[in-house]
Amino acid sequence: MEIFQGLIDGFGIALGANNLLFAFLGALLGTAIGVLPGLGPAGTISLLLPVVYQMGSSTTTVIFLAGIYYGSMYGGSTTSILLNLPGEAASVITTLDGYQMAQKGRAGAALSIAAIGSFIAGTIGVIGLTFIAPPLAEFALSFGPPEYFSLTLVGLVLAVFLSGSSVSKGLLTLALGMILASVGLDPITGKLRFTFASVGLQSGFDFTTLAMGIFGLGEIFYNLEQSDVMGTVTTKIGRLFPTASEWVQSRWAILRGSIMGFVVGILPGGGGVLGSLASYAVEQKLSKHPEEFGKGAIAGVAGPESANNAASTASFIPLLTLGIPSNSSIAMIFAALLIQGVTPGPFLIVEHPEVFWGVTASMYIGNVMLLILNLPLVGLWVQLLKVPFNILGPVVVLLTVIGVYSTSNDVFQVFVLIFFGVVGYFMRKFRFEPGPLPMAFVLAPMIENSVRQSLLMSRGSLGIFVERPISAVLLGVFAIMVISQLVKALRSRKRSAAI
Amino acid sequence: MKKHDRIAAVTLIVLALAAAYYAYAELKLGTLRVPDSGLLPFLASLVIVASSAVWLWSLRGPDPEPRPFWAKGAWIKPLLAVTFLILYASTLELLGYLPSTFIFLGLWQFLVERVHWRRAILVTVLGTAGMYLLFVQLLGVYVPESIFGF
Amino acid sequence: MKRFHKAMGVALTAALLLAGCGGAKKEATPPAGNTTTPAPAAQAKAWAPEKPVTMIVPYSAGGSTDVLARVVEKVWSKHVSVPLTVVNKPGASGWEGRDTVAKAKPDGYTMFMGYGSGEDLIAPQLRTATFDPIKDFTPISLLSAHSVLFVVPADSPYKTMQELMAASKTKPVNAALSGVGNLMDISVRALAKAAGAEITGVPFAGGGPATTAMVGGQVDVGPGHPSELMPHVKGGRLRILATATPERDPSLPDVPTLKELGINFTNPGSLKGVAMPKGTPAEIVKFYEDTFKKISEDPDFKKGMADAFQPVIYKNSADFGALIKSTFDTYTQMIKDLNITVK
Repeated sequence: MEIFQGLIDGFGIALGANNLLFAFLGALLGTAIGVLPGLGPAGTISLLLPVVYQMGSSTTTVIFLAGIYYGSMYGGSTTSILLNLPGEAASVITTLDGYQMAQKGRAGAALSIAAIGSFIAGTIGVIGLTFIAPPLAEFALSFGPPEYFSLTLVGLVLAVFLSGSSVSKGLLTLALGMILASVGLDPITGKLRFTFASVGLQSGFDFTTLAMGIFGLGEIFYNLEQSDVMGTVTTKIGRLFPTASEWVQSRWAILRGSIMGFVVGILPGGGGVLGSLASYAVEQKLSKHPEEFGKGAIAGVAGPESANNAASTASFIPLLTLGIPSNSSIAMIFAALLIQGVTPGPFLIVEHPEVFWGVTASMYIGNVMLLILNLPLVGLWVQLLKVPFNILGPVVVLLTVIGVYSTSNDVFQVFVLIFFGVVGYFMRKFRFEPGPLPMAFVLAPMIENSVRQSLLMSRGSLGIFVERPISAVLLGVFAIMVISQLVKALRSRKRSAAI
Repeated sequence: MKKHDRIAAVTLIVLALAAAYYAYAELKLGTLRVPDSGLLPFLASLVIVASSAVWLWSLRGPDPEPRPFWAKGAWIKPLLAVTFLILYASTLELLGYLPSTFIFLGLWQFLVERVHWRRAILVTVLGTAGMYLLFVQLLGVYVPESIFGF
Repeated sequence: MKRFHKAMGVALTAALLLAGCGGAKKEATPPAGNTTTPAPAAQAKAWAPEKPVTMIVPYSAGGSTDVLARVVEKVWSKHVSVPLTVVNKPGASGWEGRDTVAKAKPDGYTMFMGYGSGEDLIAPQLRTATFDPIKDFTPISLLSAHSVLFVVPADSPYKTMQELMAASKTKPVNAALSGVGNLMDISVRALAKAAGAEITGVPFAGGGPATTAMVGGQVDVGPGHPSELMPHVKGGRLRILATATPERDPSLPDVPTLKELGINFTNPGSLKGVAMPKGTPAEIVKFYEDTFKKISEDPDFKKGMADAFQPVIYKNSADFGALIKSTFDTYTQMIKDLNITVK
């Protein structure tokens, strides 16, 4: 019952004028930076820290910064759907079907379902945070290198699902993504890989640059081949809201995505990408029309969007219950709390209940605000598609260039962007699905690091992966998935041979 | 079209083999128990070789619908676009953001899109001004300043 | 059509005017700064910054160095008229941010926090760096030193360092490291050698993930900085076994030093100071020296540091520089003794 007492107190705090204002400002700002390519929540939070110190109240601080963080998840889907520009790893999945829907005139439906799904997911996430945070956080702690390895291995198999019809091309793309990920400094041995004496490559490729190049620029270069200069992204605008049947297809996707995203989001460092990926694969498997995926299936937008929003809410759990930040945005919130005298950790809820409950309550409110903010904007965003492609194209190019430059202050990165644009162009020419590339790019370092850490921990014994229960279960899932795929492939081969 | 796919597949195989060699010789593979830097790139390169080979295998036989890789003249615009982009990136720090963007947009409008010149000028000027106002003035993003001071 | 063109014309003019005004605004500021002509050495003109100053933190957010920079940021505006921008530039294990500063102009507007850490004094002796850690930087001030604490998870069977050492002779013992070739790595190796034990260091991607691994019980022991570990010690998830400093830490009076326990390894900790590119003029150095001295005496700063579990230790440019050089030589010797190499 003390949970309810805490929650009531929390709402009392969160509904205070100051906190309401900053929740709104945070959500607004977060949405804006989510829409603009390049600047992400971590960079924005960093810029705002001096402002935050003046606020005095640490509760207001976290409410504001948290609003920016989960607000940016709402905004990120906008550019993914409208312009095929994913802002973050988790938004890549949204581009797959979201942009297709936009091209078919259903951009409004895609944007709306993303907003609605994110709202439901965020709310489910906060409910989870309220009631089952501590035991879940403990569960997250039991994830060590072997578990991360097995989990990301499952993720890699799921990424193959993004490869469309040709599995061999999908594997090729995956492997390419892994090699691109290994460029730079090897964190475990300290050796430089594939850098060929270039300083700019020493820290490897940046995900945003890669994604904007392959998706954004690649698409633009490819479209330039058409001689139709005055075309737009689509000639139809269509309804702004999902149809009844679209809603029916989406609602379970939203629910499933929320839960998957929530569970995966608690894991430090893993989070959003795996959740969206898993949701997409699951929805494709469960759908009555799996062939629609990749061509504009609304469940392929609803599920992953819900997953990454639930994950961003869940990523606060380790911070608020254990004092462990899951990613760099949350790490800055951690630092802000620390130097204001609030020590994050298991005793936060006892020593500073107003911070814990105030922030939790504010998240409920924040999600409502974001829904109210984003739904009406759908009509506005959709007008963007009426802009003729030959204006939109160069503007998008300029946006990607400044997005890349502003986060690195290095012209070299712009050249890297162009390089990925060319790669994306040729991928489309040769009919490769670009989806698995960024996925592998994100998952490969996790796999490599966790396997090497695990082997160090076990002194070289491979048994560590099966001796630990969670890892063993995940490996089992991996094995089942691979085997079932092989069986399916063999059976269809036999069938076509028998004909 | 199959001819081009075959070329691509073979190119990939060659590049992947080179990468595998680099991983083996320079980065060292280590053992399966104590992997070294080169192990993952090596395995990934092998996967590329294998899947490119599968792709190549699927391309065997005559081409049912031979089509040129590029429709007549379709390669011009993408090439121009990439060239202008490279030019843009090269002059960004030399000339500063405003002039480079202006030149880039202008070139794009006139040569890549070939729209009416009035509209081209309009888009160029408005686009450059818009980007500058939004990102530099409003958001305070750091962009290279030119020798002209803006 | 005509109306449309007129409207466009108005919009265009407005846009150009605005852009022009914006450009003019930017032009107004540089001239003021350019009037600081080099004065004769006898009367060096007092220098003060006129535009925002950038402090680069070559680590990711939330780590101990980042927190230190944030505490500085918190009180900065009380002492300096222009704003401070803290930029995180993690990458290449702390070298990317340093490289940026090494190649920046010594005009007093770019600095980095964390000079004197393992990435400056240890790692460049193991791998070729793109900068020279001594020659490419001008030391400005020392602000703190992050000592090395050894902790175990709360439910660990080892209650003292001796138990851990004894166990390591028979069982495999794992330690979480925040990186490769940095202070933590060296500390674990030195500890192992000094105690005649065998400890395997498992590298993680920074102090944050390493701390998480310790809290989660994924490893047996871990060295870390108080700033990262103390929140968990306070929260009851970690237990401190020893500190590597030569003397007991006054804020942790119950924690024995390794020396007391008979293990012959001491380390003053990771020096955390501010540095600017080489060739920074003397009056700029003086300005920041004085600024950081004032900051280090600021009660808000001291409170923030105390909350962040970091000691305030100030040294001016000359003393800091001397300390850097001597520490560098100490590590050279240590690397030789411990026979540390990167393959």
